[in-house]
Parts: sequence; structure tokens; C-alpha cells
Amino acid sequence: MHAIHVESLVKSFGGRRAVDGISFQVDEGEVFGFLGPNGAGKTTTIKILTTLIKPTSGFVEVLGYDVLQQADEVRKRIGVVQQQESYELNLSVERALDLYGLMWDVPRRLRRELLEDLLERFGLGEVRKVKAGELSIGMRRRLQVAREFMHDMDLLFLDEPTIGLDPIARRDTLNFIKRKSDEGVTVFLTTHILEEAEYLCNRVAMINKGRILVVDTPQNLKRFFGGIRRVEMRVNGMMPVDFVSRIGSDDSVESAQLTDPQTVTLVTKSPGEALSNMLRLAEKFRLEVVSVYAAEPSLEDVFIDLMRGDN
Amino acid sequence: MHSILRLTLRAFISSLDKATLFFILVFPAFFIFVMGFAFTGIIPDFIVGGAKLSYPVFLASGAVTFTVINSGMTVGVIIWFDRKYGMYEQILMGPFRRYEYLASIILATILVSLLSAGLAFLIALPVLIQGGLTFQGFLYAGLVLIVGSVLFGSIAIILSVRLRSSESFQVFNSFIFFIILFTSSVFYPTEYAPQPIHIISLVNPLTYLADIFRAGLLGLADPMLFLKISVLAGESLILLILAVLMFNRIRV
Repeated sequence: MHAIHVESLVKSFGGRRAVDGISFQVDEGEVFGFLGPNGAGKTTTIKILTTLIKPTSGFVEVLGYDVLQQADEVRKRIGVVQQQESYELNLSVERALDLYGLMWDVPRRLRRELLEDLLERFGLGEVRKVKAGELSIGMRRRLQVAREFMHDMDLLFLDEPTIGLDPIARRDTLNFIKRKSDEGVTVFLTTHILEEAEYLCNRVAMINKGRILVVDTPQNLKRFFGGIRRVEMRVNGMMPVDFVSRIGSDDSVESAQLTDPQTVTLVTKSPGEALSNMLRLAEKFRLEVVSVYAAEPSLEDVFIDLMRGDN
Repeated sequence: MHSILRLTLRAFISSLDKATLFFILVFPAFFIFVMGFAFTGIIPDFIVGGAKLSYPVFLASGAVTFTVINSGMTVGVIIWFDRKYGMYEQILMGPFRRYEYLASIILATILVSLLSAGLAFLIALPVLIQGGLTFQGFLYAGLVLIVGSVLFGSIAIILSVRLRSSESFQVFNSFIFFIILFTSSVFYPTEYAPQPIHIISLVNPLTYLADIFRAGLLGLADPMLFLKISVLAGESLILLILAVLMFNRIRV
């Protein structure tokens, strides 16, 4: 059984189609990334999957339940961290966690255990008595993410969960999500930080203007679409400007620029050819090469390429 | 525990912090003990419902009903805060239905109103005891408070749905609060007031709430009592229906 099954989903607001006939499946236990630029239709899709809004047309099944006919069953089994902030102004961190657990009918003893664990895991121990309204944005985000783990779920929706988090909290959060996934929770993630998707996701879908452009593993996407790579060369002494313009006009090179006085960075679709041409030219210029580095295409490179192509 | 009860508990806890409770209780205490006794010297005993009442007794019973508007508005506006701070959507993505959320707000409004009215009543007891309390009147007054809390909770829900910006919300909230309060019979018998104020007071639900509560609690004879009960119940029902209809139109 698929955790999520979407067929020809459409959502229109007035005459505008925010989601335009998308279809995809998410397997149980999978971490599925849903990536796209602002306004691509990610949050609208999440709102439909979480039964918050109704689709205009199409078929959507979550955990085997139809989101229109069996919305209650869906909501009992999912967790959601929204993109927008959500908190209760007057409640302290520990009261907010406890009350959220109570709302989900978690027994008192288990709530106490979960609360202590989450306070420590999300670095909220020191602010446990502080009201949510008095916390920094980052701490409130931690609270919002931590809160969702006060109850059990089969499927977790994370809509840009690390917005506002510092790098350490971000990494801790990602690791915690990974652990939950290892325990069998299916995760549906949207993020603008593509390193996160690369780190967490088994598969990703890239969406633009309400349409899915591609669905595959990050590895396959990089292999198929990550044609453009960066090649860097660092020399001893100053990099001659003439060298940069000469290598920049090479047929194998898309662009060349000085990234610092000693380093030139090439963008190329043929890294091997560009590298050998650059080394040959360096020899002519009698440059002493200190290091050469060919960067792997990242998921971000794939994303930018695909979105630019689609636009 | 049923989901409505869990949501009610949540609304109750999240709207009743110490500062709010202090605000809800200090106001009536201030009116009863400062204003009530300060004005005793210049306001002689007067006739209400065929009985002679001192101003502190009159004011004390009015001040208890005043907590209902105060706490009703405090809890009812939780919808506004939930929408502003993302909890509304969060709750609707949890194991709850819309009507359960609305029912919990109304239930919490009744609970907080009764609790704060009960505490205000205890504060006012040394004064009210001079007015001849009866057990029957006490129960009757409690029922009226429930109807009143639904009414003011509904007003707060309507405001929460209609007003999105903090500024307009606060201005309207305060404006309506003071208009309702000072054109009602909480502080003075409106039949003694100038004609325009008296007319306004006749459409003001707090007037009926205060009059019925006072009559019930102090065993006063009011020939218009049945009419007043009908008006209060009718206004409550209309506002509740309006609140439900407007709430159902909230878009997420």
C-alpha cells in the first residue's frame, strides 16, 4: 500500500490553478521531498493531503483513506508541521507541549516522558518556563517541530520545518526526522534548502507552476539532469586576467570567473574536456597549479536547471 | 476523553492565564468595593423591583454579570488568536472537526464565565448577603449567566471572524465592550437614565442579563421579567446562529 496516492489532482482558486493535474505516490516508510519555488503549489498540495482544503478534482488517498470521504481517519494518523508559525501566545513551552499531547489524547504519564525527552532533544530545556510569545523565532520553530512529536503518527508532513533554525538545531532536527523515518514513519517534506532534501529524501518530486516536472531519487536526478558542473583551479601567485578570458572562450566552457585572485571557476557541461583544456592553457601561461577541484552537481544545481528550463 | 472536552480544556487553559484571571476579577472587585462604597454617600437607597436596594448591593450584583461579558469576550476571541498564530489550522489538521472546535470555544466560554462569575460572587458576597439571597435565586441566576456567556461568546466569535488586523480587533473589542457596559444596567438602573440612554439600554443584552440576574439573585419582583428573559434568550440565539454561520465561512 502507498502512504500517499495522488491522481490528476487539481486545485483552483478562482480562475487560477494552484495545482494543475499532478500525480504521484509515496511509499510507506519513505522520506519524500516535494520541492519547488515559491508559489509552485507545495503548500496547497499539503493542505489537500492533510484534509484542510478540498481538491477541485482528482483522487487523493492518504494511508489508504480517501481525503474527501474519510478525512477523520486521515487526520487521526498524521502529524503536520506547517510552514507558518503556530503557537499559543500565553503558554509556556512545557505547558504548550503537554497541552498538545493532551489534545491528542496521550496519557498523562507518557506525556511527561515525551515532554522531558523532547525538551532535551530540541534544546528547549532552558526555556521550558518561558511563554511561547516571548521566545525568539528560532526557538518557537523548535517548539513547533518538537510539539508534533508529542503524539504517534504514521505519516508526517513537514512544510519547510527548518525555517529560522540555526545550523546545529537544523542538523539535530534533520537527524531526529531521519530517526523517525527509520522507525517506520513516512515523511512528506517540502524545503527550499535542497541539501536537506538530499540528506533526508529517498525520492523527490520537483514541482513548478502547479505541475510536477520530475520524480526520482536525488542520485538519479543528479545523474540525468546535473549536466552542468563547476571546475575550480587554484594557482600559486596571481591568476592572469588574460588566462581567465582565454579559458572562458573555450568551446567546452559555459563561463569562467575569478572567485579570488588565485582561483578561477569554470561552469561546464563537459568537465573532463574543460579540465584538460584548462591545464593545457595553464602550461602555456607557465602557471604553477596548486589544486584542481571538480564539484559534483548538487540537487540544487538540478533544481535550478529544471526550474529555469521550465520557466 | 471526548475530543470536544479535550479542545475545551485546551481553550480553557490557554485563555486563562494568571494575568487574565486577575483582570477578570480585579475589575468587578474594584467596582464593588471602591465605586460602590465611594458613591454610597451621594446615592441614597432606591427602589428596584419593588425592593429598596443600597447602591453597593445593586452594583455588586451588576458587577457579577459584568464578569460574564469580560470572560465571554476573553475566551471567544481565542478564535482570533488561533487564526493569527496558526493554531486554528493546526487543530483542524489534527483529530478534530470544525464543529468540535467551535463547540469547545462555546463550552469554554460558559465554563470561564461561570468560574469568574462564581469568584466575583464570592468577592461580592459580603455585600450581596445584605440583599436577601435565596438558593432558588442562585440557581436561576446561574442559568441566566450561561445564556449570557453564550451571547457574549458569540459576539466575540463574530468579531474574531470579521476582524483580521490587530488594530481593528483591539479597537472594536474595547469599543463594543465599553458601549455595552456603560449603556447597561450594571452600574445604574437605566429607567432613571436620560431617554436616549434608556432606549439604547433596551437593545443592550447586558441590561437584560443584569436585570434578570439581579431579580433572580435578590428575589426582586419584576413585571417585565418574562419579556426580559425572552429578549435575552432570543438575542443569544440570533447571535449564536450568526456566529456559527460566520465561523463556517472561515477559509483556511
